[in-house]
Amino acid sequence: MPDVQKPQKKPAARAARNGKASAASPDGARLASYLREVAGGEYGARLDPATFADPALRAVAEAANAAVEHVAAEAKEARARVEVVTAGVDEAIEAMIRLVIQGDLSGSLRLGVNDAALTPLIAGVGQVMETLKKFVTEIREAALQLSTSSAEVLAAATQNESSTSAQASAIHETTATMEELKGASHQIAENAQMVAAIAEQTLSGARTGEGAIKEFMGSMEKVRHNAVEVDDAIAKLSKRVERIGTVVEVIDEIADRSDLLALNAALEGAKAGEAGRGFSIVAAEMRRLAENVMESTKEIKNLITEIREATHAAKEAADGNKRMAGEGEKLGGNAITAVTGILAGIQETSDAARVIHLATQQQRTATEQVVQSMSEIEEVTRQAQAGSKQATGAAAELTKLAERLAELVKRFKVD
Amino acid sequence: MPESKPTTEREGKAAAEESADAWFFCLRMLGGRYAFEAPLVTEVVRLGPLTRLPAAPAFLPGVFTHRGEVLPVLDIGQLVGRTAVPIRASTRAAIVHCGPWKVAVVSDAVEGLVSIPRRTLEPPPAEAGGVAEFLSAVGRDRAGTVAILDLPRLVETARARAVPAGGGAA
Repeated sequence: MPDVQKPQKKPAARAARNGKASAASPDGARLASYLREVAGGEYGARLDPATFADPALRAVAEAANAAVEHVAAEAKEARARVEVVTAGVDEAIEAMIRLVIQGDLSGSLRLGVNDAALTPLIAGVGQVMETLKKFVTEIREAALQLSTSSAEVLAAATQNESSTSAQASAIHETTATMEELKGASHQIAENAQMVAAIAEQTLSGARTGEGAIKEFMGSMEKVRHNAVEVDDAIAKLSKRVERIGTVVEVIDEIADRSDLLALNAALEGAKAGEAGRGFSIVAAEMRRLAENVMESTKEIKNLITEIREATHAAKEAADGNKRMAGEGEKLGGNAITAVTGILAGIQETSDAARVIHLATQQQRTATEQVVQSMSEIEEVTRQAQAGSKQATGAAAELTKLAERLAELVKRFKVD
Repeated sequence: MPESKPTTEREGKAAAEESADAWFFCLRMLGGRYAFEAPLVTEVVRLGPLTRLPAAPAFLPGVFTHRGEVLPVLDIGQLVGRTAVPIRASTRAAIVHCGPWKVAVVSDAVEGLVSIPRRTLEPPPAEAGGVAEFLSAVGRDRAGTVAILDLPRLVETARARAVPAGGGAA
């Protein structure tokens, strides 16, 4: 450019000088106007030297023409060069745009225009491309790795999610089972308590029964004892009755003799006639007494017979009592043995039920704790499940992003 | 009654006999009450151990000793051909005098003396055989009917029957 301007300045200066001169002459003014035009960038017009009357001015006009000619040529050449460079730059920009749009980083930038001024540009673009190529290659590798890793992460997260879900359902099931177990152990505890209560009742009942049997045995012994006493009493009674019988026999004999005596006395009285009448009456009275006595003794004898039968029956009854009491004692003994066995059994049952009750209560407490823990675990698992779901989602997104990145990076051709 | 004899003379005695009560000795046997004149009885004793006589008739179950005398025992029930009187230790015998004979009459039971007015006595029913042929009358007292036996005839008959035809010397 300075080359271009230099020739322009000369005529301008000349024109300025000529302008001053032209004030003197119209040719000079014409020349100055022309030069002003040239200075304004108008290189197309030419001065006709022939029109200049002044030779000096003619030469100046001729020189001005030549200078304009030269400047115009140089300007033309400069314009051509600018066009070439502009085309090169446009080509470079186009190539860059194409590269950016198509992502093709293979090969190097080649321009149809070869200008030394473009060499740094080409070199810079080449460097940029090299750098980009390197980046893209690295990014591609990274994207590939990322894709692989994110796929792995996704797989792991999916597996984690499914296993967490399985774990959650297993925990849920376990919790439900533990709840059932809790209910069952509660039921068992209640049942055991009931069994213990029943055993307690039965125990007291059996104790009462034991006491009753002991009382019964005592009574049986008394009965036997009494039966023995009754036996003795009956034997004594029997002896007394026999004695009474003997006495009655004696009385009877005496009464019979009295009767006989009275009878004979009556006979004697009758023999004595009227004198014996009173005697006879007394004798008859005596006979009646004797007969009364005999009737009484007969009654007594009947009574004695009845007493004998009764005592015999009583003795048999007493013997029966003795025997029954003995049997009762034996049965009572058996019953005592049985009740003792029952008592031992019930005691064991009661103890066992109590132990079961305690154990089930402990179990219940433990189960409740387990249920509590399980619900906590469930909560944690739920959180973990949510987390793993999120992780899976994130991993999926990451995978998608990695794929997209790979896809994007793939658009850059580096080879 | 014998006491009144001296004052009442013969007619009086007869009248007395008609009107006054007579004493009869009453027995129980053959399911009924039998009696005979009380003065025939000397005493009533308990029958002691009997000694059976060989070849004696059934109405003479044996003999027994009383106050040193051996007396035959007469079972009237057997004599008149009906059931025998069971002989026990307590069985009583009435010792009677019938003429020359002194026998012990046994029965189921001795009732003792009964007093029946003679005018109330009735003739025995006209029956043949059995006890009826020895009845002299039928009387009544407070206890009921009493058949009055003709004891001397009865004893005579017994004696006659007891001694076979060849033994008439006794």
